[in-house]
Amino acid sequence: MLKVLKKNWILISLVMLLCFLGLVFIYSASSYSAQIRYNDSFYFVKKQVFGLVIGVALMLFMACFDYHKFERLKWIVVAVSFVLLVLVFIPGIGKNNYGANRWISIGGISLQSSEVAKFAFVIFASVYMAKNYKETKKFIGILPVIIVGGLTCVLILLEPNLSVTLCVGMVMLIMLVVGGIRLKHFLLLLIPAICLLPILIAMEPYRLQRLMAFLDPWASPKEEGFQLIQSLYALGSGGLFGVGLFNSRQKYLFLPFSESDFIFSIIGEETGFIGAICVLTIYMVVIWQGVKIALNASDRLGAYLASGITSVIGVQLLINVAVVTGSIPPTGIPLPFMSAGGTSLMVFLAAVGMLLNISKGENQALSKNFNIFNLKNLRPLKTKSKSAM
Amino acid sequence: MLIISIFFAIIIRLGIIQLKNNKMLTARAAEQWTRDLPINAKRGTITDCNGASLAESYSSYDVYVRASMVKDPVKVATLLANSIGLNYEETFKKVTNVLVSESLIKLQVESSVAKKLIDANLSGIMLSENNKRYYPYGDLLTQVLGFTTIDNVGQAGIELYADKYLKGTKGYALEESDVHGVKIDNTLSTYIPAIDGAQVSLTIDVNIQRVVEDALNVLCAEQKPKTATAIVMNPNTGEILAMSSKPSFDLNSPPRDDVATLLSNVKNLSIVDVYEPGSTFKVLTTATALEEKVTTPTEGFYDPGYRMVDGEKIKCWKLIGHGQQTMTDGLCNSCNSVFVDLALRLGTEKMYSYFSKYGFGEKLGVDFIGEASGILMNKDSAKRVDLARMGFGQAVAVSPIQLINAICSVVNGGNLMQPYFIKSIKDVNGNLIARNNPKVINKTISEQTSETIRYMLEQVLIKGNAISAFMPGYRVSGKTGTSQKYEDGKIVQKYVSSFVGAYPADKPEYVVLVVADEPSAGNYFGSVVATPYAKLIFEGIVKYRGDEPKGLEEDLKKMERNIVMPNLVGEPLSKAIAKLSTLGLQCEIAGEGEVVLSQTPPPGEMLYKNAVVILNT
Repeated sequence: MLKVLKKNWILISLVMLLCFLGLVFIYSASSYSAQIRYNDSFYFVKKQVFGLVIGVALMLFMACFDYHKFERLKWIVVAVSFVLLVLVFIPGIGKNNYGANRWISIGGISLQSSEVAKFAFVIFASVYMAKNYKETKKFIGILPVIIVGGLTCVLILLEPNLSVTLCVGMVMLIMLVVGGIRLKHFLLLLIPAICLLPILIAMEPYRLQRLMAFLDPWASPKEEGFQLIQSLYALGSGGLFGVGLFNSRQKYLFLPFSESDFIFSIIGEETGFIGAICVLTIYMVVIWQGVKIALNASDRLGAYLASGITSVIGVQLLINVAVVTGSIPPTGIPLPFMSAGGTSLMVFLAAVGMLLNISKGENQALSKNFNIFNLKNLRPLKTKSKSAM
Repeated sequence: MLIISIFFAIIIRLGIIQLKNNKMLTARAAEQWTRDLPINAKRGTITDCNGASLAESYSSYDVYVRASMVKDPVKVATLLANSIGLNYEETFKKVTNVLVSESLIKLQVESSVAKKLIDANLSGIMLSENNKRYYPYGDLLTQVLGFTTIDNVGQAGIELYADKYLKGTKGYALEESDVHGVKIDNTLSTYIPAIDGAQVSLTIDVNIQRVVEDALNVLCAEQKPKTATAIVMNPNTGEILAMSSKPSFDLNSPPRDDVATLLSNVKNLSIVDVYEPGSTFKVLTTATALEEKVTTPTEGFYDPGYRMVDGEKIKCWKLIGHGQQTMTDGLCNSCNSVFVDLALRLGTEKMYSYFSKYGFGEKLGVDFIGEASGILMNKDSAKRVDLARMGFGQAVAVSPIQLINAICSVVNGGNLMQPYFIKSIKDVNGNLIARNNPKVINKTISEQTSETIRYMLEQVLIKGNAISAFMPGYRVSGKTGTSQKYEDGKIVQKYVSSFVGAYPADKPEYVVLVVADEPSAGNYFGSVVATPYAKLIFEGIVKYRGDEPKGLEEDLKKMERNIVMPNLVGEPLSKAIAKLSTLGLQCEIAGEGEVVLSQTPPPGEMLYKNAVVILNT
């Protein structure tokens, strides 16, 4: 155990640093609104500390929990995930917030099902593809992954939560690529998914409004464009060096969800461009550490799991920062480790625990083998997907 | 590789926002970060010529509640409901309404109530200082002062006219606030203090105003006119010393809910309304004729009871005629025929040139909003018969202020003064901003003619039908007027009764005009409906000034009641008039019959010489 911690001190300390910075900025962003809403300026900080304590415990547990046990648990994991996703629709258990059923609440403990479902899918896909790695060249061979992933997506979409759906979808594609999917199968999946997107947007009027707001936020500064404008105000007024820690002006109720989905705006405001780049760099190092673990994993399951977990972190980071900077239409997705939100924090820390566990069995000889595999499968895709952008 | 390129794209995007658009975004954001809190300037005071406050502002408080800060809603709602006198349920709703950042509980709460709220020290109650207008004299000078909106914006009268001086300059507190405009703790506020409004001093003398208001109240109670108006002016300066119209209302509680009443009762009839002046106008025709030397005070006139002008018969009010009389007698008797002659002798050109000199047909430039210019017939379309009527104050319409101002000019030595209300305006530090000085607009008649007019007007009061304004020991002059109204071009049984006079008669310092529109208590003669109330005003002025009577004994002798009123009922009118004339009594004749049907006063009453008797035919 200690050996593992020592070996991955960079990953662990950076993740802990992100969690700690998260607490600092959650306090800064939410102290005013929490004082007004809950009469307790530490309201969100307290919740986050609670999540952090449980999360660290989960991380340590997962670090000791042999990931190979998932081979037998895969269907249970999928079942738990689906049950959680279905529970949000059951009145009395599911909680309706802002017109969406994204939470379940049992005995005072709230949980966001989709946070769990993301990783459940990663576990299932990894286990399945590791076992049937020869089948991934055939379309039929990847079908179970697509079915489980697709069902997860549909259930999350029904909540509705388009952003997490997209996140799961992207993670699924990355995992399939890592699993060695053929290009034509990849395109066969990607094209309908891309075609589906406008339909999904058209289905809920608020999505279209948000999309329009993204294209021109100043057209409706009081309604749809409000949040994006406020985010840009925050980042913009940060400048190069920021307005200083705790000196955010946007936190005075101007920027909604400043402690959760939009915490990066407050970071940008208080610490400026330099601070934002520093935070992004920390994330990049964390992701790089994840990729390293995947590359050095002792077996396929470990490699797939590690790359799945790392891609969840990476995809969510990029979507979140892209939203906050107005690069893509606004959608609510938390920044891993930093945004206020207990479920997200706990699940991500547990996933880091899994990474630690995978790194335990690192084997030089095998890792070479996977390096070859990686190059062979990823190289042709890189250029293609780039041109597809 | 893909992820890395996306990562760099995002960093570039971040750089564009944070480094390139930094200034623009900060500037836009700064607008929402601060809030301008206006600090109300205290509205200036309006005072009379002696410095007595007529309108002032005092601090009141607007009470708000911020539901998110309320800890004990029941206590807060109870306190608010009880101390301000509001419905508890409604107040409780506001106290617990967290959907809005602040709810207004009540505007302009007295400072004693505000103190109670502050002392209770309950969180969630917000007070913002405001100013409330207060009129110490309430129902006095209603139309002159006017009123303000609840937000202290001048709406009528001096409050409107001098609004830009009275309102002051608002100050601002620029403070850092959250999205709801709530001030953020521990932040600095920029404070630009308000500059309080200027003090406006009027020419009005509240002591005389009080007398005028009282007199009009008595008039209204006894004569029941539709409206009654009175003005007191200093003829030598043009200062308006008192001005009142009835009905009026208490300025501290204007009938804001009844807009029609509010609008009609706030109208300053003296300035914005016009009327046919009738016989009071004869004073001006006399002055014009004497100035133009078309007559002398002693010239003889014969009145058979009418004049024929271009085939049209213009009747004198005394149908049997005044017979042979001097010009002065003509004015005393208010004989229409004499003024027909004078007007025709003067001719259109001269009459109109004097109208213009007297300030008729155009605005005088009184410092008041909505001044009427009066109505003059187009000079070219005025026929001789019209001109003849104008001679005795018909076929012209003037505002009360125009009439009194013209009368002022013929008794003050011939100067048409600019009438004005505002004496001076001083800023909050006492520095003079503006000042009105007496200003001569026109020279109307010569000093010599004016002196003659002053003498004649005093004779008119004693010998004419304005005798009821006679004050033993004091020299008062004056002329009554009664004009029948036209409605839709037809003459109707509605009258405007008036009186205009001066005190002291030989060197006037006060000119008083009383106009009663449509008296409905039975009488309509100016001698009965207006004159006695003008006398009340003169008496008040004399008392206020503390003037000592002179020649009281002699005057009292004049007023000795040594004539017994005969019974004239049933007698032919001509015989009755002759009888009264021998006794030394004057008469007013109501109706157009030949026989006296009733008389006032009743037979046997003791009367003084020249007392006015009313005969109904």
